[in-house]
Amino acid sequence: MSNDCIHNCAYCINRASNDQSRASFEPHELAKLVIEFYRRNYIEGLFLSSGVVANADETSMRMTQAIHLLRNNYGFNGYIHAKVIPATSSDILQQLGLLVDRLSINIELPSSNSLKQLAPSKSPDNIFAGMKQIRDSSNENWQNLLEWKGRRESRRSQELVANCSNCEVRGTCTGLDACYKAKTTLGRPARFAPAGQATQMIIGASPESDLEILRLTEALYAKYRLKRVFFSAYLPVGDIDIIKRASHDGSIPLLREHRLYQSDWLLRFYNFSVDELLTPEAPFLDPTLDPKCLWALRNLDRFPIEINRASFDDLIRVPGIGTTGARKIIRARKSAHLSFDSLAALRIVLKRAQWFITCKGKYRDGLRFDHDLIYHGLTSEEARKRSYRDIVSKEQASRQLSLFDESFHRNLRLAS
Amino acid sequence: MLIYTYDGTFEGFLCCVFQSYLRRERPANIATTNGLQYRLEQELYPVQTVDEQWQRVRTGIHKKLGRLAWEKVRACFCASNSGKELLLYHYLRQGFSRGSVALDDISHPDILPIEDLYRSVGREQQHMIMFARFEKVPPGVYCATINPKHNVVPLIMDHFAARFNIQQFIIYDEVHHIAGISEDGQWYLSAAEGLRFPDADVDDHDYQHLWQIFYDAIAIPERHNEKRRQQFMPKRLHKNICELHP
Repeated sequence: MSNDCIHNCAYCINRASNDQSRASFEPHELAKLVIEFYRRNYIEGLFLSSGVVANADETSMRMTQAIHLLRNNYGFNGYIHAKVIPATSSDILQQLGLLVDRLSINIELPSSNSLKQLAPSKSPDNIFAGMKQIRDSSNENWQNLLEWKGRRESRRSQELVANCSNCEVRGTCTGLDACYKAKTTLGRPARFAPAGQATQMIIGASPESDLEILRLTEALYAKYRLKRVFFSAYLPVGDIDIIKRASHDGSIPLLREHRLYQSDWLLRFYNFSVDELLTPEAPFLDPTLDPKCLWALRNLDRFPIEINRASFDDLIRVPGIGTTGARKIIRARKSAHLSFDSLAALRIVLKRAQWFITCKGKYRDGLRFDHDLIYHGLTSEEARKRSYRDIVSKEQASRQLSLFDESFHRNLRLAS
Repeated sequence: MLIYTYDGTFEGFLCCVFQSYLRRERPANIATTNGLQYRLEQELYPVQTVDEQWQRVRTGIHKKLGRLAWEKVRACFCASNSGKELLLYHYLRQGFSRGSVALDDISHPDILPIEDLYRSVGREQQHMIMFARFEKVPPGVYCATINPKHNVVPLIMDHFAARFNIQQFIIYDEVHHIAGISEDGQWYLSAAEGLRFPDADVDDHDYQHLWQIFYDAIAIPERHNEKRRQQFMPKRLHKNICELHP
């Protein structure tokens, strides 16, 4: 909405001390632009954020006005995600929530200490108060919706007997008719941010470890019922780079961001807890291997698992098998006994999974269930690029040629 | 070798399925009347499209295999692959003989090709929903030209009709020469060879320009990842995406 801001957050391009030209949209300009883009299918929705002009309430009011115009004057039904400005008063936030699909308040940095240093004018109290309000309003909204649904159910059973005046042929209305549907949405309470709330934090501008970041993430999900926590690798913006970066080589920590997202997925969809992924002794994620593989390697006693019998919860713990793959396996094994070939036919990528599973009680031909071998198979460039058959034939060839015992050979390979 | 020929419509294809059950025979191939190259050893049986017959097949699929299977068959019929009719025919035969459990047997040779085809068509459908770019043409019709791999116009019209509500629009598929036309929330298809839209409104150029500026400004060069970009936005679609032609 505007790149004009009273705050001076060190990581932000719109910080007050950054020398750049400033511009703001009027609410009606913004609404018109969005609807014209939407009509041409350029965009699917709107993500609205703003620099803080004058004060939080004033800026939030302008955002609310723009969205109100879009929804009510232009009949815009697309997705809207609004960034909430911390310290916005609660009734404006309430009004905004009833217009948008998703709300988010940025937590900005993974600890209040870093927040104090890099964004001195933002207070953690304001941020958490906003999150709490969104959570509570959303809960209340759910309750209202459930009550309304209950009322509708009781009304439906009465009306089904009576004739529906909307129907062309009287007395033919069942609960599925369009006219009945239209009638049943009457009186439905307006939804408060039905797509929930999210937040974002900057990675690599402050010294927190991955363990601290993920602990915070886990707590946010549990306490504020967030739908999603976004991580953003710190990128120096504006005229000067005023943050002494935590990463030693000064590069943008994109890989770290990627590993954090992988862990975040494990937390949200794979029933992992942070303690399974990281320990205080090793508080950073490994750049060479993804967190699920590392967990599996640390817990080899739980593997290999049998594809034709394992439960959904066990299947999704296998590196390389996700929720979609697990669902496909469960669907397919109802009518057939699955082999490695049928897994390939299901389009399940075996590159990583092959090391952790058995099919019909058998481990994959040519592979051996051995920690070092698996680690090598998962990490070496060669293994990553070539198909497994090449590894197998090479492995067999080397075994035939070997004059030494196998463990010596393995160590040699690991060292190279 | 027995070949069924039909008129190329989805209804016609369903009638082929109906006829094969009625006549208790299994055609070695199913082809469109125009698309067939006749060879000597082939025995042809031209299937007529009869409303009552395809409706019975439709009801049968719904009842025995469920709505999802119907959607799958409908979508896969839109594929451009030659030989899709035979694949669909085998798929339906499996389903009708073994019930809906057969359709879950996704590694079966009769089921797998349809699963793959469905994924391919579905992806193309999503691409077109994302990348169809409309221009406002006087007197206020929004027009888009697309070049999809599969004939997906029938599969995306519902989406756009719901999205645009009463806004009039035309989506023209320049590869398959089919136009989907929507007026007042109703849509229909029309064969259209070499359709050309009139020049867009004057203010349309302004919005297009603004969109191009926005598209360029929102990009973060440090995060540019060409491989990822091509996965999301395949090169073959670039020619009809206006923000890529400043």
